[in-house]
Amino acid sequence: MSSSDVFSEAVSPVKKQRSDFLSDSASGFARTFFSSRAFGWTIVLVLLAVWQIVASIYPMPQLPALSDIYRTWVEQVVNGDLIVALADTMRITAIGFVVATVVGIILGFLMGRVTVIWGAAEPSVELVRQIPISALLPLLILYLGIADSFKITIVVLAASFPILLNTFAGARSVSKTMRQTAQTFQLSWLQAQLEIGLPAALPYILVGMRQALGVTLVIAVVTGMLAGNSGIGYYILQAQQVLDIRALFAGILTVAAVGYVLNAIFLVIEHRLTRWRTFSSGQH
Amino acid sequence: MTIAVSAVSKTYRSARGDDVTGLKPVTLSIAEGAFVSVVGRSGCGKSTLLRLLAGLETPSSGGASIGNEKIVRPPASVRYLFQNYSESLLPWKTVGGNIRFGLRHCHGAPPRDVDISSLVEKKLEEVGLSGITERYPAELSGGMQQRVAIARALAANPKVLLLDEPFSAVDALSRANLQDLLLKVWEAHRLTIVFVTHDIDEALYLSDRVVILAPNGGGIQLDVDVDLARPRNQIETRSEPAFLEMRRELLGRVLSAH
Ligand SMILES: Nc1ncnc2c1ncn2[C@@H]1O[C@H](COP(=O)(O)OP(=O)(O)O)[C@@H](O)[C@H]1O
Ligand SMILES: [Mg+2]
Repeated sequence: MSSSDVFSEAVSPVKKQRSDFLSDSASGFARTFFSSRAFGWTIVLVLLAVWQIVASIYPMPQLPALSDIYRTWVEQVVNGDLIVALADTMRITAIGFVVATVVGIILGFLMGRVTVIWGAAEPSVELVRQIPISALLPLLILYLGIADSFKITIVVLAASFPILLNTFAGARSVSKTMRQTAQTFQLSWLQAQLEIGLPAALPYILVGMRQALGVTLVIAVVTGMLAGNSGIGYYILQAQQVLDIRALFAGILTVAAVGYVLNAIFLVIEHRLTRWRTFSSGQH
Repeated sequence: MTIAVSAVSKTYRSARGDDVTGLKPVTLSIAEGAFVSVVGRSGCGKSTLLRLLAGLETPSSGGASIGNEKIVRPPASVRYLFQNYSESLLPWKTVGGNIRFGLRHCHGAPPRDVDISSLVEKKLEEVGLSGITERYPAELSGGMQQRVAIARALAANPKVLLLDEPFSAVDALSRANLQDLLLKVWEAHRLTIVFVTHDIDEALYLSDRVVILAPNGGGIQLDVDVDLARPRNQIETRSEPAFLEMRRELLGRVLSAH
């Protein structure tokens, strides 16, 4: 969804290298600007400006001017249509995300730390993971109808796996030295999991949660379209059917903005919780 | 608590499936309060012997005990300082958090009715560190990390300390300081110490007794008492004729072994 998903890798301890395509003689400002995200945001602003100018000079129904989209967006927010749709999608996203987080962390961690549970669950997890969500849709609609339970089930199915797999990797990442440290300090099994296993796995868990967060919003929007009864997906679908292109864009841009903000908030939380890692990668 | 090692041996199974001699049968008795060093070439089984004493490895034959307790799992009164100490500190906890970990998981009753944060300060001062309780291990130099690891072990109130080449990765000056620090805490806490090193000078300087292992897990090659006066001093002790004499003797024996 938002690009920071892909580029802000939290796991690799390797220090990020900044591009050095500018010569030493380049001024400090240019150097900072071109190697920061301010550059990217400027490109976004320029593209939006081009859009606005093109749409004003050559008015066409397929590409409404940004100013018109903005007016529609404000209207739709004020009359509540967009807010209600968004709130519905956010509710599905939140419930699905929380359930997927709980399931993914518990199952992934136990699979990583308890051999019997790994042996028991690995085949099922690997099999279910291979099934594309789209292949399950007809069956799920048959069983669950198009109610919230259907949407939440889909979201949970899609979001659990990134969390589960990352948590598993995190639980496996505990070094032998660390495990033996726990033994020599006489920690019980449970103490070792709580004081060493979970904190060691936390950075991985957070990466999984952030990947899942992106997936949940996308899937929540899609389920709204499929069920065709509520949510921002349904809002966008309706706008298309009545050829209200401005509302269509208002819906799309809202989803993009919400996705970006959610990811940004999560990055802040993630950074807070794994502050100690910044030191180990030498970024003081 | 005497440590008694009776015909302990270890055979590893390599990844290819064949047997690798870790250590041929070793019999050894370490008196309570002694400072014993184990010396030998790389691969001679020093770490294997120490891990057997720590209860981190199961012997292939024979057995070891500490006091009246047979060693089948890590004994409560023993703390082990890992060769890769930086991997042993909890990286997500501050220095203070790591010391509190030691206090929480200590031998005997955990400290009560005391101000934990001043206790943490005290433990750190004992190893020559102060004002770093809020720092993370990764922010410290190797020598400082090793001091924190020692302070954490001491916080757990052990009777026996096992150290596997603890100072091999720090620079020579810090190493001398760390050696003296270790002697100080050994005396202050009346510890029994088994110290693995490949450095004969270091072994002689620190110990009451030096055990030399024969190459390739060959077992004990030589077991000598070190009768140098205490307290020891980096300059005086190392230039004593008795020190130089033993050093020459032991080096010769180690180098001629094959
Ligand atoms: N986990 C292991 N698996 C297989 N072989 C091992 C293992 N640990 C040690 N060895 C072998 O046992 C011998 C002694 O190793 P070690 O005790 O680590 O020696 P030292 O600490 O004196 O260098 C070496 O040949 C080493 O390769
Ligand atoms: Mg070794």
